Amino acid sequence: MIASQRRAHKLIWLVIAVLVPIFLFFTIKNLTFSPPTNAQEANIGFAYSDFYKKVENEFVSMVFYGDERNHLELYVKKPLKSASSIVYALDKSGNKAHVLGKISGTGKYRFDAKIGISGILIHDVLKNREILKLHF
Amino acid sequence: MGLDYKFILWNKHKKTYDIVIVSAMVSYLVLFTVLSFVTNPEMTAETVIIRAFGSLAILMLHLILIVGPLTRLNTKFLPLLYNRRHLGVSMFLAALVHGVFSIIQFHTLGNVSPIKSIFTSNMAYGSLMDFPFQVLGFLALLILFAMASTSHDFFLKNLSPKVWKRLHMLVYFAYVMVVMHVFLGAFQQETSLFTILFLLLGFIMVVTLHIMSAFKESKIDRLTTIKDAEGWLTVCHSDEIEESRAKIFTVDGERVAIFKHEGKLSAMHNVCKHQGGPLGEGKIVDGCVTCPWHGYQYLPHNGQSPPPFTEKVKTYELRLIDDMVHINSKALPEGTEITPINC
Repeated sequence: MIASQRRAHKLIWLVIAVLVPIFLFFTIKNLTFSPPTNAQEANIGFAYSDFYKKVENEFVSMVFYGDERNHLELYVKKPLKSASSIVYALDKSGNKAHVLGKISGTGKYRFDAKIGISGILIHDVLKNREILKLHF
Repeated sequence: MGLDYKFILWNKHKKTYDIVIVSAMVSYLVLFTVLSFVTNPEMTAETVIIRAFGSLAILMLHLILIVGPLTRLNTKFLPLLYNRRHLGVSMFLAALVHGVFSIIQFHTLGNVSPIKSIFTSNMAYGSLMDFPFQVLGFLALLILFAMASTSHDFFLKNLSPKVWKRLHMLVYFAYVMVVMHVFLGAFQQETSLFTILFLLLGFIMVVTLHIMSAFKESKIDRLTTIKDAEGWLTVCHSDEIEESRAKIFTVDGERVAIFKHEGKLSAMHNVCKHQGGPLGEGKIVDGCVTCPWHGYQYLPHNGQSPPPFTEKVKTYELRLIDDMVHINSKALPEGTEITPINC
């Protein structure tokens, strides 16, 4: 490289080294990599209805098994008009909690889920909009 | 060097290089596909293709970006640099497959043009966390396309080396966009600590190597020698330069190579006109200064490529006083004849 290109190269990489980690921090700081502990803490004093829940609407039906199976079965009956959707668990307050998984069309899906889940939220990540919210 | 523009001037080294690239790419794709279907049998073929080619392109981009600084830090990595453009074009092709399949999967079969859909499906341009990651990927792909399509020497010559190099330095911005594309896209959908850490490690490695080599070069640039009133610099003893080799100095911020050929010294700008290779790290072959990167040659007494080639570099005046070599800091125009000095 000639001298001006060397200087430009050094400046560009110094800027990248400072700015990009800041951006990356904000993109990953709210990600969850394991089921939330509040679900485990909520094991105390559950009624039978917390261990088995079922609900359905025009588009989906879902069943939650909170016994030794600890999973949620989701049956997508009709297309949701979204090429790529993420399913989030809703906590006891009805707020968006952790990611359960991803769905891509009609069919049956099974996600690991713990006690404390009060419903699901299906979110279109490409268009950044909520598709469906369903409470037990 | 080639007089006529051929698509690829094949030689044994290039063939080996390309066989290794293709073999590695195919092996990766097969392994990725097998592992994907084993761990998740319900995954669709389109999803596997998108992920396989996307991850392959990112891995190759990391490799491409570390080759440059590695060769600056240790010349043993030079063989990787010689045909880096082949690696670059292959990486672009992998990224193109990823891009095309992604556009088909997520942006077609609607009533909006797929390209328009990339820019309008998510309008959160004012948000950092919700920024449309697919736009970042698309723009990075456009940069990589521009680079791949101008990687041939024809464009290097016709765009001019300065413009060509500026265009190809856009790869740094493409890299940043690709990293953000992954962090704002795939990592938000499927959080895997392993893959996040892997990409972070790759980013740290690329940035660290580039900054290390940048500071190493800056240190060399800052080495100063005293200039006299007429602009002459004392650089070294004549015995410090080996026969048929050179020593590199910094003169007014530019690198200059002083070669010794048949007991005579001559000086020229260190940067090869082809792709900016360091002439001073090469040697004299058949009476010509030969660039170590791609073999471009220049005559030591005038900085011109031997006919019929037309490349020229700047030359510098030298003088010898008590076996000490002095160089005139004022560069002569490219291709200017100089009289080599006897040692």
